This record gives sequence, structure tokens and C-alpha cells, in this order.
Amino acid sequence: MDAPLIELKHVYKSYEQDLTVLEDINLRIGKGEFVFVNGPSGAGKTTLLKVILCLERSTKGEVWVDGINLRRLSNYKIPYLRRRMGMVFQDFKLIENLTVFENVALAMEVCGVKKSVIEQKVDQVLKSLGLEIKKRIYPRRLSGGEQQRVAIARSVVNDPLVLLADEPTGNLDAGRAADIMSLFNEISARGTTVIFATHNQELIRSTAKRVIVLDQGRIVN
Amino acid sequence: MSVIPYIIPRTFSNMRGNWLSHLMTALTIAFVVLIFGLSTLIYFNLHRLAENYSREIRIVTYIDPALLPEDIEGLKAKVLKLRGVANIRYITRQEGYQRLVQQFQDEKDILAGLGEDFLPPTLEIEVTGTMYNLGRIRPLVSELTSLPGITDVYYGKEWVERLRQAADFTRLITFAIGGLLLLTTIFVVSNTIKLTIYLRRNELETMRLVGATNFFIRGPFVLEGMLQGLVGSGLAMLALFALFEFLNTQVSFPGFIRFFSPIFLPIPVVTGIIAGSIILCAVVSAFSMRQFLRV
Ligand SMILES: Nc1ncnc2c1ncn2[C@@H]1O[C@H](COP(=O)(O)OP(=O)(O)O)[C@@H](O)[C@H]1O
Ligand SMILES: [Mg+2]
Repeated sequence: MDAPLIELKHVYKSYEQDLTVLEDINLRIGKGEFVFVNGPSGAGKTTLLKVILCLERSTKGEVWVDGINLRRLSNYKIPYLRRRMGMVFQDFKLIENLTVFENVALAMEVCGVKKSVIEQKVDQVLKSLGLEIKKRIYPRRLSGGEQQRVAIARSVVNDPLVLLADEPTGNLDAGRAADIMSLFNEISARGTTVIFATHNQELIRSTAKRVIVLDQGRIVN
Repeated sequence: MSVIPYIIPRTFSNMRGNWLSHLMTALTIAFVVLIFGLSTLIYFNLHRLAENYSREIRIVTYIDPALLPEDIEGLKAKVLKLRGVANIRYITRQEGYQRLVQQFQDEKDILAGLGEDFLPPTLEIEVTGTMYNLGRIRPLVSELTSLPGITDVYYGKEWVERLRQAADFTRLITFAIGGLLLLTTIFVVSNTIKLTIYLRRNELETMRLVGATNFFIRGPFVLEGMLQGLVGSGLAMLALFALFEFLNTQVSFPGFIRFFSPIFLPIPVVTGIIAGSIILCAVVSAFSMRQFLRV
């Protein structure tokens, strides 16, 4: 096996002194893999994704992303790492006063991509997610499923190495959830590494994909 | 930097979001800069006035008539070496008398009965024409007084002192107002920026999440501060100019400055005040953001 894209070695994370949220996490995820992170609410799934995205620093242990040791990564380089990862947040984190198009474009603007390139790429991604007719609309006028898809569009628009998705089917009914699920399968089929965190047992029951089960901050399978 | 085209429109959309507080900030800056500019203008003109006068200052020293010519030469050399002395002129008794005769041409009677040698020989001293030397006059006078051979020293004591005090006082006021300007600007600008940050906190958070650099996040706020500094101080300078023109044309000045025409602050000073305000506001903005720029 090649060097893994993401590797965690004995990672611990605690927000407060005595409360350990992640405990001795060891994990290797290869390029192009699709991995579910499953476990009850409060197990530490979101925290695990945040540690990979460098939104939180691990308290102990090493986190490697694409050959970079995050512990050694200086603060000013973090944005450049984040641009190579896409994250879909549980609460979407769309900006209220920007349109669908502008929300997605923001992820490219921060990288300093040329306007004409942004327009072309954002249109293409919105189209592939069936959002092109909504592009001038503000997020609060979208349904939950549509907002979810905008968040996904923003996370993939920079063609990330890895897509981190935090409960992307969380607030959706079963039919919508299945749509989103197949969307992630498509993204994965194009070669993007996907880490998909969910507390939903149904979703992973029948899957052939790799499942990491977290409970109280430990990997239990 | 290729993110700059995205920073500028973001600045304006930020400002549109709470334009009222931006307007108030710019007006506050304008008000404080106006007061600062006014006191600078007063100081500046007082300084010029003082310079004009000090160019005309003559110190006149009476010299012991018993002094031998070679002693006089020695005395002249000593006086020339004193600090603040620009030039000296030795006037003999005869020359002094001739001058009087010329001055009182029409009233020759006044001089009747006075011999050619009733005046002592004098040394007229010109001082160098700067503010610094206004402050130097008093020590210079006491140095002169202590020189052997000089019997008396005369100079326009009172108004020299008064002019000097007035200039010193306005300078003090200007500094005090400068300090006030600094504090007010820091307070007002940082509060406005913090309000904008508060209103935009979700957006800023999201920008961080998608990989925006601190430069990208901070840029619009620094630009916003610079714009406030520019608009505020620009308005202040316009208002100050209008006020100056009004006073200059509508108000007649009292006696002793009748012949002195006040001038407006020179372009470099105006530019300096505006540039200073812009820089100050930019720095305050950048600092107000610091706490937000964790990763
Ligand atoms: N910022 C934080 N500060 C303190 N505790 C936190 C913070 N974020 C999460 N936690 C705690 O960490 C634990 C795991 O949270 P999280 O990673 O969100 O779990 P999950 O996503 O699996 O529901 C929870 O007990 C939660 O209360
Ligand atoms: Mg969670």
C-alpha cells in the first residue's frame, strides 16, 4: 500500500483538562478511499474531522495529511492546507447574505482564482448538483436538502484531495438522504477520498465500505 | 496578490451592512481632526508671526566709552561667538549721533545742547530668526551682560517673552489635542470595526473554514479603516479651509498683526495630517481584528 493520505498516530484530544474527547486514535486512510465514521452522538466524530482539517489541534499524537505533519504546520500555512480539503458542516455554514452562487464562489475567491475561471467552475458544479436554477437565491429560501447540496457544492468546487462530511444526511428524510448518499458515491467514484461521519446506523448497515466505529472517543471495531 | 480583486468589493459590502455607524465614525474623526487642524493652524501662524518678529529683533548693548580699540575688537569677537548671534554692528559715538540727527531732522531743537559724544558707543546685535532663538534671547542677554566692557543691554523684552509663551502654549495645546485625537480615533474606529466583526461573525468564521488567509479576512477591515480615515480627515481639512477663508475675509485682525497675513496650512502639512489619519485608522483596524484571527 502507498503512503496513506491521512494518518493518525496515537491521537488524543481534550477540550478541557480532565475530559478526553478522542483517545488513542490510530487510523490510516488511503487515497480514493470511502470511509464511514459511525458512532453515537457525542462519540467524537465531529472532533475527529476537525482535527484532520486543523480546526482543532490534537492534544497528543501525530496527524499526517498528504505527507504533512500537522503538528509541525505553522499557523499561517493552515489556510493552504484547508483549501486542499473540502468539508461539509453539520450546520452547513452558508453565509446568509450571499447567494448560492456567491457562497460556492467564496471557496475559490479565498484562493485568488480568476473571476472567469470561478464563474465557469461554479456554474459547472451547481449544474451537476441540480442547483443552477437556484444560483441567484439566498440560502434561507432553500429547503434543507438544497442547502445541504450547496454546502456540498462549496466543498468540492476546489477539487479537494479529501472530502470531510459531517452528518450530511442528518436533517433529511430517507429519500433525500439516499440522493445525498449517491452524490457522495459519485464524488468518490471520481477519485476523491471521502470521510463520512454519521450517527445513522441504517445508512451503514448494508454498505460494503469501510466503517470506523467511535464510542466515547475510542475506535471500537 | 490575486485575492485583492475580491477584498475591495467585500470592503464596500461590509460597510453597506452598517453604513450608519460608519458615517458616525467618519464624522467623529472629521470633528476631532478639525480641532486638531485648527490648533495646528494657529500654532503654525503664531510661529510665522514670531519668526517675522524675531527677524527684526535687535539687541543693543552700550559699551564702556573707556574701552581701547583693541579691547573693542576682542569684545566683538567674543559676542560673535555667542549662540544665536547672526550679525553685529559696531556704532561709534559719532555715528550714533548722526543717526539721531537724521531721525529728528524736523525737530533739531531736541538735540540742541547735546554734544556729539553724549551717546555711548553701541554694539547692535542681530539674532538668527528662528523660534529656538526666541527662547535663547534671555540667556543670550545675560551672557552679554556678564561680558566685561558692556555696560547695558536693551531689547524688546516683554513682547518677545509674550510671543514665545503664546507659541509654547499653542504647541502644548496642539499636542494635547493630538493625544485626544489618538484616543478618540482608537476608541471610535475599533468599536465600529468590532461591530462589523460582530455582525459578520458567521461569515468570517466560514471564510476561515474554507481556507481564507488572515490577509484575506483582515484586508477588508483595514481598507475600511483607511477609508474612514481618508473621508474623516478629508472632510476636516475642507471644513478647516472654509473656516480659515471665512475668518480671513470677514474678520479684521487687531493692531499688532494687522500687517501679518495668516496663511493656510501648507500642502505637505495637510497631506501629512490626512496620511497620518489614514495610517492611524488602518493600524487600529488591524489591531481590533487581532483577537479574531486565531486559526
Ligand atoms: N469546543 C468544545 N469544547 C468543549 N467540549 C467539546 C467541544 N466540542 C465538542 N466537545 C465535546 O466533545 C465530545 C464529542 O463531541 P463531538 O466531536 O461533537 O461528537 P459527535 O460529533 O460524535 O457527536 C462531546 O462530549 C462534546 O460535548
Ligand atoms: Mg457531530
